Order: sequence, then structure tokens, then C-alpha cells
Amino acid sequence: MYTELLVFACNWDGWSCIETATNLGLSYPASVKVVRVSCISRINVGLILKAFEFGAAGVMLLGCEQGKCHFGVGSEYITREYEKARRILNMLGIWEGRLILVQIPAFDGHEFVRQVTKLITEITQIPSPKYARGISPRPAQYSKVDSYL
Amino acid sequence: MGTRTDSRVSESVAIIGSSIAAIQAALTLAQMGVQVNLLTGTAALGQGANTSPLVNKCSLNQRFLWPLFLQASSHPLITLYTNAEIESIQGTKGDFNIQVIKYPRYIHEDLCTGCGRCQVECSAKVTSVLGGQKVTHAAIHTPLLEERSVPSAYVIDKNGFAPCHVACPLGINVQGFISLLSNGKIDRALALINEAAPLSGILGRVCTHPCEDNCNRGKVDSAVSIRALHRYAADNASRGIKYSRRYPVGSRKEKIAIVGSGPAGLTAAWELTRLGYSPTIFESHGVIGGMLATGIPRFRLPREIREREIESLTELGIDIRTGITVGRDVTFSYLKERGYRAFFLSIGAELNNKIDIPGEELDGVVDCMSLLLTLNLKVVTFAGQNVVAIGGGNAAIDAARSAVRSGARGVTILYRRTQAEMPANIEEVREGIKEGIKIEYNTVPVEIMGDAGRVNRIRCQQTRPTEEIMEGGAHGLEPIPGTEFLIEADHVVVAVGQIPNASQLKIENLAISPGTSTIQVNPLTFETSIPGVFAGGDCVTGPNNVVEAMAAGLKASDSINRYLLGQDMVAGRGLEPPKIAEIDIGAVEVLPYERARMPVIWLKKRISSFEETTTGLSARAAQREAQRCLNCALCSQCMECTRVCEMNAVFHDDSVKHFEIGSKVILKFPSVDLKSDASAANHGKEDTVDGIHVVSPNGNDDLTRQVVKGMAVAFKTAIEIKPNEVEGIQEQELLETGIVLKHDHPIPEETEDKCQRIGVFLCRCGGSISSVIDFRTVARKLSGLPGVIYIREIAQACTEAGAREIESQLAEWQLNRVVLAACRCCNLDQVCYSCTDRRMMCQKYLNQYLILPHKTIVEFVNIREQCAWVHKDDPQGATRKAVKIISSGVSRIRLTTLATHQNTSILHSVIIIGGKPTGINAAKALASQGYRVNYVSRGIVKQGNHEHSEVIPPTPGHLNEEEVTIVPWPDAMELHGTPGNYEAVLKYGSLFKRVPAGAVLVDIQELTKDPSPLVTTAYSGGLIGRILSRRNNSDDITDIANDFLREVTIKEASGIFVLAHDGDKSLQEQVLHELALAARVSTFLEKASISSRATAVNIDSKLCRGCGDCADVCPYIEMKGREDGTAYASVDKALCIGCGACIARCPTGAITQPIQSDKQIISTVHSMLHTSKKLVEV
Repeated sequence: MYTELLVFACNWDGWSCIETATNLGLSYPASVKVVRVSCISRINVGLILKAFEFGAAGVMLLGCEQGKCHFGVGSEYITREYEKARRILNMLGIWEGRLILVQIPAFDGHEFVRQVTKLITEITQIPSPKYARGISPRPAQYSKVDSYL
Repeated sequence: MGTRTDSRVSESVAIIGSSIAAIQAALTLAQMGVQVNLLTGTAALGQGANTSPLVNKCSLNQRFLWPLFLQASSHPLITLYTNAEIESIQGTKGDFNIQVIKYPRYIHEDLCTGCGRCQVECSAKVTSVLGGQKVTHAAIHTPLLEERSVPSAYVIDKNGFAPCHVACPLGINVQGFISLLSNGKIDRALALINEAAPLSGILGRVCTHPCEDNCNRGKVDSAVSIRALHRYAADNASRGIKYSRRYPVGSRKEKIAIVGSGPAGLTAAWELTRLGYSPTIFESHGVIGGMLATGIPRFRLPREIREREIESLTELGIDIRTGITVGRDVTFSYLKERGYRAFFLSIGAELNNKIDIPGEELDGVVDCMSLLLTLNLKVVTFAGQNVVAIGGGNAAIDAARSAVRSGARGVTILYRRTQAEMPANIEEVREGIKEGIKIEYNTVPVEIMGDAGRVNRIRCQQTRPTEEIMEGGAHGLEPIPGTEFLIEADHVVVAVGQIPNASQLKIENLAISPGTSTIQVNPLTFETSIPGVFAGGDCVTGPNNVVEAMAAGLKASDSINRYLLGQDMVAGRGLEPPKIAEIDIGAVEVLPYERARMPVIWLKKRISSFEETTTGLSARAAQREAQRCLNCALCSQCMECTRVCEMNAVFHDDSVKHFEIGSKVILKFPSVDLKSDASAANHGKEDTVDGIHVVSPNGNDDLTRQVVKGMAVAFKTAIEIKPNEVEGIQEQELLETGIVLKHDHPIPEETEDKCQRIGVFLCRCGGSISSVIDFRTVARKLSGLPGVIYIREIAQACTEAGAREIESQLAEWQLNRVVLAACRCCNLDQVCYSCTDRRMMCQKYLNQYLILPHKTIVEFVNIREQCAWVHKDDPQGATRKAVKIISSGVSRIRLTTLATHQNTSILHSVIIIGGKPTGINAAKALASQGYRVNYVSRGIVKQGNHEHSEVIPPTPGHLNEEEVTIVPWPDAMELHGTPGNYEAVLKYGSLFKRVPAGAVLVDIQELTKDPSPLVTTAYSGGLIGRILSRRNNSDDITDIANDFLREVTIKEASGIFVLAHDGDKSLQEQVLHELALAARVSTFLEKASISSRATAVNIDSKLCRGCGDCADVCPYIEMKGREDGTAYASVDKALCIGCGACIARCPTGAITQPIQSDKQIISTVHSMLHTSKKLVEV
């Protein structure tokens, strides 16, 4: 029962993709909520987990490609946090695919919409525990916590 | 420091051009304190230039150029004039007077928010070429069609007036109503027509359509069937005919009498009623309509239609009195006594001419007016076998066709000339022939013969034209001898012209032409020989047609209005016709639809009754026919855009404007397209007239070259106009003019919750937000939030009026914090890749009215691009999301604390660390601006072709006369300090030389190739190295270095600049690059002070455990050591660019940000997700 997606978007390349999507006349569901931060590397595991704690069905980290950071921060930092967060989600019994890291060029509205749509589709296709009998992508070991999201 | 003189005009520079170089030059000059007037000939910055960034889609270029354009257009010292060109220049260098011509945009640039609702409603389709391809778009559109632009205001494409519009005697906006019909807007089409003229149902049937005769579509295949569309609008408007008034009922008390209720009289009455009068029509017949009732047969103009039209006029309040003949039942003098002050005579021409041949008085010879009257008002059966009508006008044809329908077995028309010369409508003639009427051309009757007083034959004669030209331009006629013949006729209808019955009026001194019996009037004012008495229609022109009579009525009513107001009757009338749109017929691409055929009743049915012959176009046919229009004038002035724009930003009355500006120096940046002569071979500047510099573009100028050129030109210009004086305006002044949005002032009250009084303002954005998001629901849901005192919607937040509206509520409700839900996303002093000119204006006005005077804390949330515009098809979802977005703004503003203020002033001195002649030009340039320059060099050897090199002896402190202090290369060097206040410590053996500097220019290559300890201490690990390591953090050779990019976006000012050079550059290019660098340095030094930005982090050393993770991610962070051996992290707040990456790494929470703190992010996340019903303490 997907309800909402939270996107952490960096103010520069990330936000420009979202604004460009509007300027191009594309649309994405209103269940997508965007939180703007100055740089995606401002986000660490704690903030990602807070989003899941407050009920986000999925979290997208939207930032720049390696080398394009407006502040000159390398993307290895956010990549590390992302991977740590994924492992923790897994440990908590939540399907780690609910968290994705999207690193795309600036002004790419189409790719943003595509990524959002893909994530929502994947999340909605996760069956609830009642019906999950070995149906991928979510193996049976995922706990009930995952189904509450 | 010099002081600003009072007349700003003389200190300014005028820049003409729309290229990147021009815009960069403008911005650099403005940042150096020079006032700039930037004139672009285009509607938007960057448009039209060949190296326009918006043609060049490279993403990096967009990232740099977009903030550049925004900064330029919103800088307080730059005045941007779009669509502006230079007409002429007078004066000399230092005191030029420029005549500027500005072409109309038809839209107020400062009001349009780019919401696009006008574009949706625009009826006219226009084709343009975009990037080599043809694109069809609305006539009102964004300047760059598919791209965003600065300014973002829309433009309207116009091309003069459509020929149909100009041809219409009534001035109906023909292209306008047709474009509305092409979109299916029938009611609006009729309303548009009725702005100009009434009686659409009648005109749509009987008008002689001069519009169609001038229709450009006729040159392609066949003209648009405009009259049929006019009829379609009249017959199918769902709300019927509703005339609009221009002045309220009874606002004018003067009495006006109109004689005759024909088209002229009715139209005059209509117009006068709309102007507020209450005219009275006196009609001698029992029916209203004049010729419309008595002359035009019912199968062309049915009675119901006529009555419908007249009823709509009486509903307007026009008083028509039938059965009163002026001159007989009431006299002219009687009316004057009764208080009628103005008169309009529209008695038409109803007296039939006689042919003056023997036999005219026989029984069975009737005049056509009586015949038509009888047939129109009663049903009569003709017993005739042979009806002959004499004449070639509409009266004759109408009489003949009426005779056919009344049972006549044979109907013939005798006309004395050829078919081509027949004055009757060709369509009526053709229909008549189909109905069985025979026409004898070149035939005149000689004698009407009869038997026992009753006509039975006519003797006729063939004629041919003579050489002689008679008055009126036609040839004379002579009978052809030997061609007499006889026609059988039991009824003869005489239809050879009518004259007005003017003498019946019995008005003394009324001038009447003797030959035609028509009333003489002034052709411009329609006034007769008697003041206050006007005349128009057939009684002035002789038999004419409905539309001309109506036009006369309109013009006469204007005259009457002026006469009664005592205004000049001639001023402003009779002007030259407006410019008619010219189109290239060959280039027109149209759908191959043929002209719609007007459906008619089948033949047998129509000749047996007086039912209307034509049945009107179907909806589909009408729409298709309307789409055949070529939109000659592009914008059709249908006024739909004006109707939907809530910002009132559209004004079709915009016109070409002329004004003057003064300037000291003029810089021209022609774009590549305009280059015509051989000067394309030069780059750089070339002077033609002293003080006017033309900067030639170069075809292969890439982004960097253009930017460098712009900055170099700006720098040289700045030197020119203020030599040897560093005359900048204090940033304090700028603060007062309100461009800086900084949270560096203390909050007046405490930060405890109960003292936070938050006002939430919701911007309608002219309906584009409020039509999707339901503000009532939003307000209801937000009213429960703690701290929110006041919620209100405002029309438009990005204007001065909007800011003042918010300000006015501050005092009333004692608000100290404001959340504005509109389009602006952040409250920081930055311009990011997504910003827009509206957001910049919002910031400017809120600074001016809210933040600076009242020290209000403002939080912005974007509910436009992030909510209303992207979720248009889900208004409920958008409303829910808007509630969350705004409540997250409220939660953030409750947690906003302010940075501690740290202002340091900047030393006006520069140290250049380099060794080659490359730095010399920068050194000289900066020295000429009055800064102290210390040039640390290795010792330069004179080289043959470099004129700028000198031989310097290696002794310390050698001064040359240009104020550049040459400092020898040290053994070791360290740089300490903070931006604007650096200190270089140079070691020579055991001597230390301390050189203070505001800015540092470093030649990295020179510095890093030295194997001495200079490298380690000064560069890697040292301050310079740390700051410059952020410069290029990737392996790509990017055009614009990151640090320069950050200068434009977040105004990063570290004060350390890189002297880049590569051997491939020519000397001239190198000079340009150094001048550009000098411009950047100069701009930096011109700041009044350096202060930390609102997002700068704070590292609490007591919490810091010295792990160094933050220093890993940010080179600006230094690890320092305490006496006890522990380490702690520390950052110079003046350097911190506020990304927050260090905060994410810090394990102890020692690093915090006053804006974008962890608490704020968490509460934002909480507000955004569905579990949040209210704000929760986090």
C-alpha cells in the first residue's frame, strides 16, 4: 500500500531536474514529496531512516553526477551513506529497493519522472505478506514492518 | 574613496546587445559600481545571438548562464530595456544623448508571471521558425517558445491590421471573431462583433461583404466565407444577443431625434444609447426597419430574424415610435421646441424613379418599392404569366425573385448593360437565374404598350456602349439600329433607382442636391447645412447597401456625441487607414479545405414560398471555415488573453515608444548575424567614434571567450570613465536599495514559541495556483498550527503591490515571521539554476518592504512549480500536498535561528604570486584602479616580442612608478588570514616580510613546479591549496571553473584567484583574460565587507572529538591542535559555502547550521509525510 515517496533533492542539479519536469509540462503523482537540501551530501543515514520512520514508502536521493557538484563535494560520501542505509533497511526487514540514489545531469526532467515512476511501480508491486509466497522482488524474509510502509 | 555625484545619468554606460559578452559586461560594470543601461533588441536576454546559450544546450553552459542572466536583469544598477534599439546618438564621449526606440511587447514585463493561461485561450495560430524547423504556436507566447527566458514575460506577435478588418466599414474585428469561431467560442465571437456593430443577424444575411473581397485567402484559393460565419455567430450564440453598454443608462440627458428606423437610424440609435443617451426614432411606416422590412424580401431576410434583431435593440432601451412621419405628423420646429437638440436624418431612398417612356401610366406597371413592400408585408398571389422587371440593381433582382415566388410563370429582367456591370449582388443574380429568371442584357425598353389601359407588351431595343464617358464613369449608350423587339408582359416592375423623399421633411435651409435629391452633408462629420442636424444612409448617398448605411449611422452618432459635448467634430477623424498586414502568399501553407458552400433549400421548394432560401452553416462547417483564415495580422485581438489574465498584464494598446537616455560611454555588442563588413576579422575592441566601442563578435567564440571578453571590456570601460579613482558604492548602500537577503540582524523579540507570530500568505499567481489548489481547505488545515496567527491569500506576491500588501498586514497583526507560499523556494542570497526573474523580483520587493525595514524573518515555499503547476490534473492531491509543503515551511520558520554576524572589511591591496609576464597585465590593470599591488616574481628576463617584460634586479622592495611593488621570490611562503584580510609571510633567509593583501592571485603552475619548500608551505596543506582544491574537482575540462560558477550563484568570495595561462593563447587573448581577472578581483575588492553567509556552519569545539571526518569532505575545514595534544576542527565562517556535507559526517553533532539544521530537515520530512497531522516536537 504505497502512499508517499520522499525525495531528497539537492538545490542545484537535483532541483533543476524537478523544475524542468514542470517546465516541460510533464507530470508525476502528487504523492511525491520533495525536500530540498543545499547538497545531497548533507544527507546521512539518520535522516534517511527518519523518513522511513515517519512513513515514507520510498526515498529517493536526487543529486548530481560525480564531478558536477556545485560545491565541489565528491559523490563518494553520499554513496557510502546510501549503501549503509540500504544495509540497515535490510537488517530491519525492509526491502532495500525502497531507497534509491539517482545521480543524473542537471535539467533532465524526463529522467527524473522516469525514475520516480519506476520507483513507485516497484514499490507498489511488492506484495503484502499475506500473498507473498516466494514472489520476487521481495523474499519472504522481509518483515511485517515493510508492509506497513 | 570617491563619492557618488548626484546625476547618475552621466556616470552610466549604455550597452547594446543581447549576447553573453554584453550581459557579462553589464554585470561586471554594475558590480564595480557603474550604472548600466542594457538595451537588447530582442524580447529576452540571449535571444538571437548565434552563440546564445539557449541554442547551445550544453548543460554546464546553462548552469552558468542562467544565473548570469538573472543576476544581470535584477541587479539594482542595471536597467534592462527589451525590444529596444538605438535610433540616433548625439554628443561626445562622456556626455552622450541616445534616442532609443522601444518596440511594443503588448505585455507589462513587471506584471506577467508566465503562468500561461493566456496562451491556452489564444485563438490565433502563428507559425515561426525555431532552430530551422517550423513551429505552430499561439500568437501570445513565451519569447523563446520552448525555453524559459529572462525576462519571462510573454510577448504577442502582431502584424498590423488584417485586411478584412480594415475593409469593414463598421470596423468589426473580423479576424478576431473568426479566430474565436475557429475555437468554437460562439458567444465570445458575437460579443466581439457587437462591440463594433449591431444587427448581426441581418448583416450575416445581406451584407455586401467588403471583407471577403479583401480576404487574403482569396489569393490562395477562395476567400473565407465571412458573411456566413457572421450569420453563424448571430444565429447560434447560446445566450442570444446581449449588447454591452459603455456608459450607464440615462447618463446623458440631451434629447436626440432620429428620423427613420432603417439600418442607419437603428445603428445611430444603438451607438447613442450605448453612450448613455436615450434617442427617439420616428418611423413613418408601421413596421420598423426601413428597407430591411420593406425592401429586402423575406426569403433573404426572414421576418423572425428582423424582429429578433429589433427586439434586442429595444431591450437595450431604444425608443421607436412608428406611424409618425416627421414633416407631416410632427414638424421639425415642433421637435426643437420640445427639447430635441440633435437630429439624425436617415429616411432612406424610397421614391422610385420613373423611366420616362410612354406607357408608364398603364395598369400593371408598378414601381418596385411598392411591389416589394406589398409582398413583404402581405401574402399576394401573382396571377401574372409574364412579369418583366426593368433595371439591374438589387431592387430589380429582389422584385423578380419575389415575383417567382408569388406564382409568376415567367419572369424576365431587362438591363441596359452587361452582366459584369450589373450593380446587383452577383450571388443574387446567380440564384435568380437558377430560379428561372431570364435576363436580357444590353436591352432598354422604348415603349410600354397596352390594350384597354392594361399593359401587354413592351417594345425594347438593344444597346451598345458609346465612346463617351458620362458622369459616374460609365460609357454612354446608343441604340443599335434595327434591333427592336417585343416582349410579352402583363406586369411591369420599374426598378431603375430610387431617390430620397427629403422635401417631405419640410426642414428649412436643408441643402439638397438637385440632381439626385440627396441631402448634402460634410463627408467627415455627416453634418448637414444646419448645425445639429446630421444625415446618413441612402438619403445621402442614393441607394447603397446596408453596411454602408450602418457605418454612416455610427459615424454620425460620434458626431452627435461630440456636438452635444461641445467637442471638436473633426479632431482625430479621417485619419490614414492603419497599416494593413502584408503576408507572403507564396509562403503560406494551408489545409486544402475549400470554401464552405452555404446550404440552400432545394429549388422546387424555394420558388414556391417565401421561406428563407439559405439555411446557414452547420457547426462543423463553420468551424472548418473559420480555420481557413490565414490569421494575416497574427494576433487577432480577440481579447481572450486580456479576459483571462488576472494580473492585467496584457495591454493591446502598447505602441512604439521613444525616449532618451544619457551615458558616458557606449558599448555595442553586435551579434554574429549582423556582421556585414570585413571587421569580422578582428577580435577585441575597435573604436570608431571616440567613446563608442564596438566589440566585434567572433564566430568561434565559445562561452569562456565571450565571458572573458565581456569582463575585459567592462574593466577597460570602468577605467575609462573613472580614471585613477576607486569609486564604488558601498555595499551598505546596496543594502539599503535592498538586494541582499541576509539573516544577520538580531531578532527583535525572543525566540520563545509564544512570541513567534507567524503570518502565512498564499499567492494566487493570477489564478494559476488558486485554480488548482483550494486555498480555503489549505487555510483551514493550517489554522491549527502553533504560532500561525494569520493566513491570507494575495493576488500576486512578486510585485511591489504584493509586498506592500503583506507589509500592511504586519503592523495590523504584529507578525514577526512570514511564510510566503508562492514560487520562490529559498530565502538565501543565491541564484540557482532553477530560479526565475519573478522569484528575484519577489525577493527584491520583500527585502525593500519587509525585511530591511521590519527585520521580519521570511520563509518561502514553492507551491507553483512544485505543486499547482505539475499536479494540474489532480487538484485534490495538489491541495493536500500544498498543505504539507506550507506546514513544513511553518515548522522550519519556527526553528530558524540567525547566524552571528561577522563583518570584516576588505583591504584594498593585492598580492600576485607568479613569475611569468602573464600576471603583469593584471597587476598593471589593478594598479591603475588604485589598489596597491605586490608582485612576487622570480625575476623576469626581457624577451624579444613581449613588450610587457622588464628586467628586475633581485633586490627586495623595488618600486616602479606604476605602483606595482615588485617583490622578489622568497625561499618560503605562508599565507594566513581570512578572505579580504590575508597576510603573506615571505621568508628570505632569516628575514620575514609580511605583505597584507585583500586578494591573492596565484599562478598555480609557477607555484607548483618549484621544488622548494615554497610549494608545501604555501600550496598543498596551506590555505591557498585548500581553497583552490575546490576549483576543479573533476577530470573534465569544464568551460567555467567551479569557483567562478559559485561567484555568480552564491556569491562566493574567497579572494583567492587563479592566474591561468596556457601557451596556446595569443598575446591579445592573454591580455583579455587578465583584464577579465582584474575585473573579478576588482569586483571582490569593491565589496564593502565580507560577512558570513546565512548557511555557514558553526563548529562547537567543545563537542568536537577531532576525528577529522569533516576535514575529509571539505578542504576549508582545518584540523587544529590544542595544547593537550587533542585536535579539533575549525572553519573560517567567511569561507564556508554552506553545503552542510560536514554536518552529515560529524559523529558528535558538533557542527550545526542555523538554517537547514538537522531539526529543520527532520521536521520538514515529518510535515511532508502522511502521518503528520500536526507539528511534532522533534
